[in-house]
Parts: sequence; C-alpha cells; structure tokens
Amino acid sequence: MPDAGGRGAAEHAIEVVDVVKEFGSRRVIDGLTFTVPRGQVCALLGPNGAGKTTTIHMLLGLTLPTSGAIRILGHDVVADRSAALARTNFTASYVALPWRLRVRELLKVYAELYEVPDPKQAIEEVGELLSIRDFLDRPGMSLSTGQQTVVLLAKALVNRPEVLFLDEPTASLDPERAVVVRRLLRKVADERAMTILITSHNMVEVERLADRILFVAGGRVAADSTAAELRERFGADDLEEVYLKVAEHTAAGTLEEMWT
Amino acid sequence: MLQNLFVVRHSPLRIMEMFYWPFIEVVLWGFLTTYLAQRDTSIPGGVGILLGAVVLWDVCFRTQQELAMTQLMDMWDRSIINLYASPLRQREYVTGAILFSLVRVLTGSVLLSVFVAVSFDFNILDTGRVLVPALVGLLGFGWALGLVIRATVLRFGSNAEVLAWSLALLLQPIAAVFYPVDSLPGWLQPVSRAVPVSHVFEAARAFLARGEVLTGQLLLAGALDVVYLAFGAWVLSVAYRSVRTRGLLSRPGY
Repeated sequence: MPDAGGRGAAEHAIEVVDVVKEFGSRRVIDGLTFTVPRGQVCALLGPNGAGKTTTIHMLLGLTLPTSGAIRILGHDVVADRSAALARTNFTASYVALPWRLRVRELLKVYAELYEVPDPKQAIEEVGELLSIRDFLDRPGMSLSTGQQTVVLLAKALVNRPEVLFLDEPTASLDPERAVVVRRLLRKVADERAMTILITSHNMVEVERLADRILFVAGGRVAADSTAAELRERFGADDLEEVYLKVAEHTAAGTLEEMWT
Repeated sequence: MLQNLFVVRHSPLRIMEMFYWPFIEVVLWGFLTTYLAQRDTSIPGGVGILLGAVVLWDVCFRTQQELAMTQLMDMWDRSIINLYASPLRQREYVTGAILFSLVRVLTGSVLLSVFVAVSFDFNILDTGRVLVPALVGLLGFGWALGLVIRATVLRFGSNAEVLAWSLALLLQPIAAVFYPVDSLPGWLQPVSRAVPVSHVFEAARAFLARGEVLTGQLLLAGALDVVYLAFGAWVLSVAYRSVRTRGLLSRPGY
C-alpha cells in the first residue's frame, strides 16, 4: 500500500507484481512476482541471462517493464520514480566513478542529489564506516579498482538508504576486502533495518549475507527460500551445489516438480 | 550542475577549451578584417561587422556544444547510471546542464569580447539595444540544438557524439552569420528564414550599419526559438522513454 509519500511504513520495501519485460520479441522477464519485507537481505540468483540485472534495472526505473507493477516503499517506480528512489541507493560492478572528481566531491554531489540534511557529516560518517578517509581528497582516477568499488559503496550508503540495490558489488574486490565489505553490509543492514536486494555469483557471499534467496530462471522465480532450506531440499552441501542443481532442473524443465 | 563545476575545477582542458577555439577564430577573422579595412573594402557597417558576427556566432555554437558535452562526459566516465538511478529527474538533469552552459558561455564571451575590443578595435557593445535580445535568441537556439544532440546521443550512444561538434556548423552557411539572407540562392532563403539566428544576425547587421532596430526580426527569432526548444524537449523526452523501454540507459556508449 502506498505510504502517501511520507516515512510511514509501507508493508513491503519491494513489491514486484506479475512483471513482464520484453525486448522486441524476446521475453526476458515472464510474470515475475515477489516481495521483500523491510529489513531483509535478499539475494537474487540465477544463471547469466536469467533476468537478474534487468530486474534490478526495472526496480531503479532505468528500464521500463512491459507490464506489471513495481513498488518501492509503496511508491510506483514507473509513475512516481523520483519519490520511489529518494530513500534507496545503488551500486554495481559495471558502474564507474566520475574520473575527475575527488572522492569527497563525488559524495557531496550524491548527498545533495539525495537531499541529505547534513552532507558534510554524512561524508565523514561514511568515510569512517568504509575506512576511506585517507583517500577522500584523491581524484577517482588515481584509485585502484578495488578502492573505486569501495568508494561507490560509500556513495550508495551516503544517504542512509532504506533500500539498497547491489549488483555484483564485490566482483572487483580481493577476498580480504570482500569479506570486510560483506561483514559491514550485514552490520549496517542489521543496525539500520536496511533492506538489501543483491545479485552475486559468489555463493559464499550470498550464503553469509542473505536472509533469503530468490532463484530466477526463465524470467520468473524458480525457488524462494533460505540458504539452509535450499541445501536441505536439494540435498546439497553448499549453495554452489544448489545453484548447479537448480540450473540443471531448470534446463530439464523439472524444477517445479522438484520444488513442490 | 555541482558535478560539472567540480569537473571544471580539476580539468585545465575544460577551462582552456572555453577560450582556445574562439580565440583562434577571432584572431583569424581579426587579421582578415584588418586586411580588408586596409584595402578600403566596402562592407555596409564596416568590416568590424564580421568580427561581431564571429563573437555572436560563437555564443550559439558553444551553447549547443556545452549542453551536449556535459552529457557526453558523464557517458564517457560510465558514471551516468548513478545519476539515472538516483531521484534526479530528467528535467532537473537538463536544467542543471543548461545553467552550467550559460555560465560557461557567458564567461567565455565576455573575455572574448574584451579581447576583440582591445586587439581589433571592435566593441560588441556597439550592437546597443540589439545585444541582449540577440544573445537571448542565440542562446535559445543553441539550447534547442543541444537538446536534440543530447536526445540523439542518449538514443544512439557515443557513436552520435560527432553531432556535438558538427550540428551547428552544418547550419552556419544558412544562418546568415556573415552575409544577409538575400544573398543566398532563392530556394535556400525560406530554409534560412526558418533558422532563428538568421533573424538575429540580420537585426545585428541592421543596427551596426544603420542604427536601426529590427524589432520584428528579433521577435520572430524569439518565437522560432520557443518552437525549436519545445521540439528539442519533446525529442529528448521521446529518446528518454525509448532507451528505458529498450533497456539501453544502463549501457551508455552502446
């Protein structure tokens, strides 16, 4: 239900209802339906081409659905995009920093865009949180790929979003840094009751971070559960094995039978 | 707007390009007019009128270029997705770019005008009461062209970036910048009259040559600008919807 634009509580942080997306004659999302309650960390998994990134892009208003409804915190993303995105943020492995800007300037630009009441304090806070204070005054172009990824994560947290969309956020990080970022995201999500929708091909990351897993195959939800339950259901030792079995059953057309 | 200001602060090239080409062009035309003046060539209003044309044309050309460049730079950086995934509305993004282009173009034009006055003894303020409406007409058309270029780049990616440097130049021969509309071939004159800046240059020449204010020409330029600006805004909104439908917004530079 819409929350009339205020900070009132819509029941779900994310609502995706019977969404279809076609690119020409190719249907990439086929009646996708799911909801994510406030404060939940939800992972969107699936093979390449399953429609994960298209789903995130539709949630961000970057891509328009062919039909169906998408609401963020009660706001319709198509009809009321700006209000829907005001309390969200996003980062992805394929997004880059503006080269010429200093990190502090980048964060200031986005703090202003998201109408953060005290940008200076927000920048200090996020700088401390992600341990990037040492390079706040360096230009984006002088940072390593890993540092740029962390700065983009800082951009994604600068407005203390209620809903955070992450598309392969740790893809370019070394394992040590990835662990730190993963722990930090979990901590921030718990402390702030922040909703996270994350895509990743790193099954360890998903298992450690996500409360819930949505497997997407053929443009619809193929499986929806916790990592533990999925392991049990598929008789797998880890999530990677589950992933492979889901992909196998999807290809064979036997997933529904297996799942129900 | 804030992002663009930060970029300029750290980019000597972005500062230099405000002046480099306009200065080169003015120096070239300055020497040409000096030569023509020495030969006692008869041009109504004097040869300085050519220099005025260069300075005024530069306003239109750089306005469209600046409006296109701000978007291109965001695309080149692959950071444009961050902007489109934020609450920023398309109209706010464009308005910021328009204000930024205004600041850059006016700054460059003031310095260019001072340089022309000092070096070649032509004062742009000699255009008197025509100057402000002429600037409005030139800026308006520059923005209209800039909106069309932004739409094309948004829809077709950085392959279309050549337009940022060429669209205004393509129109220059029929925009009556250095010669009156009447001097064009008959079949081309109606096309020229459909270009707002043709009326601006006709009005500027009339004032410099005879001290006459062609109010009708200036009003016509303004009215045509409104039409072209509305067209540019419509094309941009169509392009924006099209790229979101096709899922191209997240793949700038496609």
